[in-house]
Amino acid sequence: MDALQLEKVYELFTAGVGAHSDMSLRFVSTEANRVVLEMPFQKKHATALQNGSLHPGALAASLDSACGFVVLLNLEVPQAIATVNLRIDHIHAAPIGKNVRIEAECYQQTDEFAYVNAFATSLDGTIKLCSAIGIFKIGSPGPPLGRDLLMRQAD
Amino acid sequence: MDGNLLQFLEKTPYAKNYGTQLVKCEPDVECLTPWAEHFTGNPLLQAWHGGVVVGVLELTGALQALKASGNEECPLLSANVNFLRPTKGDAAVHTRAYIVRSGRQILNVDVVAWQISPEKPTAAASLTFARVMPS
Repeated sequence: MDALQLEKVYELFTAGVGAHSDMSLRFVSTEANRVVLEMPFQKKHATALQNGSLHPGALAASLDSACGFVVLLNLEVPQAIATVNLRIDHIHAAPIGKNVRIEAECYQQTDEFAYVNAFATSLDGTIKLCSAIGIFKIGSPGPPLGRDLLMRQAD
Repeated sequence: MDGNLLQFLEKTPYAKNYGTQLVKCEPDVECLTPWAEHFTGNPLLQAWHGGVVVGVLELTGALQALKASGNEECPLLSANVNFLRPTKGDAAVHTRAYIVRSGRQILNVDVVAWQISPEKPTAAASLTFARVMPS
């Protein structure tokens, strides 16, 4: 999958997902089992009106999205997925008024579950903000939203 | 109703964006978050985004921590969230936070989310907050 195709896939992944539109997550890059997104700072997601930074809850939502996206990209057969467990350590407050970088990696997958770890960092990667691990059920009830389906729609 | 908690919700843009309302403060903090289109996680199933559910759980836990610490904001250290049932769209989410332990340095708060009844929770979180030590 080339960069243009992936960008298309990401657009389809976010289309109709109100939470993604609300967060305005941007696709940055992908490589084997790993995706990088950028979450822009928006005042509505801030901890405070003045000198606010991205709220821990907003970081949690972006981490969950990045984890789900990397799981979908790794599916060989299109299937619905669902978050089973998400654990997030909040290490450092996000920089005031700044965008953040979100990275997720699917480090293990079985027939039933995908295991993901993810990080939120400052945009330059020097400050680690959050560390997360997630478990996703593969083949949860509902229509599949997989890479192949998305690719067919993208063509 | 606790004025400090209402003020916290009012002054936090993130909470206002979610539209989370304080339902009661005693004995435990209970909130209601009405459904909004920008909570959609799966458009095919019309379900809440898991991360938004985490956000609402964290927010409710933060209110409980604020109350327990005498209106001192406590930084969130960690959240461990189990997703128990689908959180369906077009329906509000209720959340209730309980203090598990209130120590001198650490506050442990459990939060549960439900839609139909508390006996059928859709998600549950264990949150760890740090207490800010007076300098």
